[in-house]
Amino acid sequence: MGCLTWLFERFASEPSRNFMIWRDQPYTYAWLTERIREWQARLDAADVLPGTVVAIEGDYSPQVVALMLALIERGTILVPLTASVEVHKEEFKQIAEVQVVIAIDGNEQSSLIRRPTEVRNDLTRKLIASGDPGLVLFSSGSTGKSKAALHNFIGLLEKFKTPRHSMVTLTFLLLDHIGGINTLLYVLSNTGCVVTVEDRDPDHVCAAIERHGVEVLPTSPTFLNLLLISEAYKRHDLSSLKRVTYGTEPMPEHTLQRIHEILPHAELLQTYGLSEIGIMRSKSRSSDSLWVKVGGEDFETKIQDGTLWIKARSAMLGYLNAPSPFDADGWFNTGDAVEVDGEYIRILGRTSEIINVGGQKVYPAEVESVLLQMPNVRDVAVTGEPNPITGQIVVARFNLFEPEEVAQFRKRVRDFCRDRMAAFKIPAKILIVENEQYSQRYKKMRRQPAATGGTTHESQ
Amino acid sequence: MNRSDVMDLIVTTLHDLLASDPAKAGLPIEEGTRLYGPEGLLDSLRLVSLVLDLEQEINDRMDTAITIADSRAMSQQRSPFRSVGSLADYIVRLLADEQQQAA
Repeated sequence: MGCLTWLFERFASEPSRNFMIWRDQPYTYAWLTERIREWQARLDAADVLPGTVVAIEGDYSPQVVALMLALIERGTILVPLTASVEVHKEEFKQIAEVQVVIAIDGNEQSSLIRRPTEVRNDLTRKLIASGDPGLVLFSSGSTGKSKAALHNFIGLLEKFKTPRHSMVTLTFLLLDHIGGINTLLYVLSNTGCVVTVEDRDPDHVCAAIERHGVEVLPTSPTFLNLLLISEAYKRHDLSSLKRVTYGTEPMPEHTLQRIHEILPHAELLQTYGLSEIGIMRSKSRSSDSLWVKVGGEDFETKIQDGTLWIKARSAMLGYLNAPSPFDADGWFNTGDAVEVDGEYIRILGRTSEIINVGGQKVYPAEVESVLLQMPNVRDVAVTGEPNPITGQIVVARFNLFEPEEVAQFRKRVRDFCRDRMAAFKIPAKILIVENEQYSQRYKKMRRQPAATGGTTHESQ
Repeated sequence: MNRSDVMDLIVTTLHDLLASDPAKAGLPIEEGTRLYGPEGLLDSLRLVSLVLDLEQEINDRMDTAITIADSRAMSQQRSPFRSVGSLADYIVRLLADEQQQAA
């Protein structure tokens, strides 16, 4: 008996239900059960034993899901790698000490390759000795080098044993991301249906929502901004949406209000999770509120010096390539600055991203939220930059719809900001850039491009 | 860019920056006008903005990469930021230095 018996029993009770819509084709739970069986036979034949470190290369697809479940049941250590980390794949395989690579291509064809690697990492060895399945997730690296978080899969699965609503959910986050794994496990454990999209631009996503009656859209503030800008919601019927969840970065207040206006029938919920601790259960005060209550049975939270700390039962075992971030009592410093109001918190941003202008704090998300309301502004990323006069200055890099003369635009930005924010928050340096400023995960990239000779070369 | 071009640019940029401030908009701006400090036209934030705007504008026009506010500027015996004229002098010097380095 493996650790997924309870899940497979649920699949068996709903054989004709669809578990996934992939390239607009439905796949049922009976189909999934059959594929898992095939994978087990194939893994037996290939001698992939419990405790093997196995990388899965591939994006969301029916076969990838079947393989993942077969590997969890088998007690292997999973390392999901998607195309979005292409340039880091070899590095990640070395860090995770991958022994078998199973790649599934766009036509669902698979290949299995062995790597002559011995597992040396103490954390991994301990997990293997316990017999439990594992999961290695890499932090997105938006703030430096990627860290590999090793989880015991049993801990991640625990909360899904409680039955909840079965819903049609569009996947947005990738499978090598804690949010992507969380969405998949939630849907499967409630015999719901995952709708995948080939292209994540707002029109494709909205078309899929309309076509398949999608009820849940887990997404990011950046995608919701793009949805507003593209006006894709005007071209598609989104009335099936019951719930839109957003996480991974602070939500601009204005974006939330506009989304609430265009989707009045949908509940807007903030989620909170990190590769290191899993996803917490959360409850927004209301659909147009940034105040959220986080926690759940398996989590404890505390606020220390304005920063959120979490103690989680499903926390990772540790990093494979960095010292443990937990304190002696098992608390994890999230690095997120928060405001507190009774039971509710409001996430202000990463403490590492706070800009200090002459001793006063500026949160990038707060400034971006105001700047996004300006006419002709498509996107903006706010960062700090060292300055000999005020310590740091606020820098804003804009993407515009229509070209504008920089000096003229600069004046327009300052005029717009004057009555809307304190003087020290108004961007001192205003640049117009051409490149997009969000990552493959639709998360704002505030990291500054490598410095060239002069800063002005970015402006047009 | 000669000194009078630099002066013109500083004056225009200052007018733009102060346009929204009823107490200061329209004040005459001359060589001896104080930028920062007692009787200065600007607070620290506006001084930073002025310097950055000038940097961007000059570097765009001249295809240079000068930095007006850095440790060198801060360690001058007399601050380049005390008056409009001293700032113009300092910028002209930076441009000359850069030209020399390029040559």
